[in-house]
Amino acid sequence: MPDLLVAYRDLGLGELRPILILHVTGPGGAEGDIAGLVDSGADGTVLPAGYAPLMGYTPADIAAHQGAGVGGSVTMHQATRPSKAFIPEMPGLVFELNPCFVQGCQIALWGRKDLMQHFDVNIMERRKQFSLTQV
Amino acid sequence: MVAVHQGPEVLEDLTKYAGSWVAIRDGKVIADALDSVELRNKPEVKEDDFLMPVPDAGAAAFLF
Repeated sequence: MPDLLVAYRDLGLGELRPILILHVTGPGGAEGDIAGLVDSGADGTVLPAGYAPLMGYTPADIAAHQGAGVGGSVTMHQATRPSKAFIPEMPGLVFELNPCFVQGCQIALWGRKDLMQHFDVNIMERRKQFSLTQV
Repeated sequence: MVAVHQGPEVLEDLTKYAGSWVAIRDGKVIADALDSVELRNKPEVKEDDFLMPVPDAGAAAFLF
């Protein structure tokens, strides 16, 4: 049985999607909720670049490298210090996030590393729900 | 135990904020700005407000 069943939501954007809220604490202690798409196609956590300063990352905490997206090559700004995250309904399981910040990225992506190292994810598109099962 | 996720809800249509960042409180936009730091530094934005970028209008479908 899954630990959490989550309804798709539109977040004011007009389309129901598998969006999960994580409570994130940056390396300097700044914290807040981030809404992201559950995305098995992303290798790891990808965040819009604007989250970096909100989370307390400075240029010294970030290493640039090239990555690939659907649209071609992109510059990824990989955090060299982890953040911490938990699902608000499951505060007992805190896991590390190692985000990549991407200029032009428009929504957070919870990819296979980080979140999916700790939860099995089942997307039920026809029911507009997804479930998370702690592993 | 199964529960339905209860995160911040957004009760407004955000399309008019496309390309900006917004601060959400009680489901409503209380401030917007072109970048995240400018938004966070606005006096009306509180520490526990929910901040998020609003995708461009052209991003009606996400492809990654």
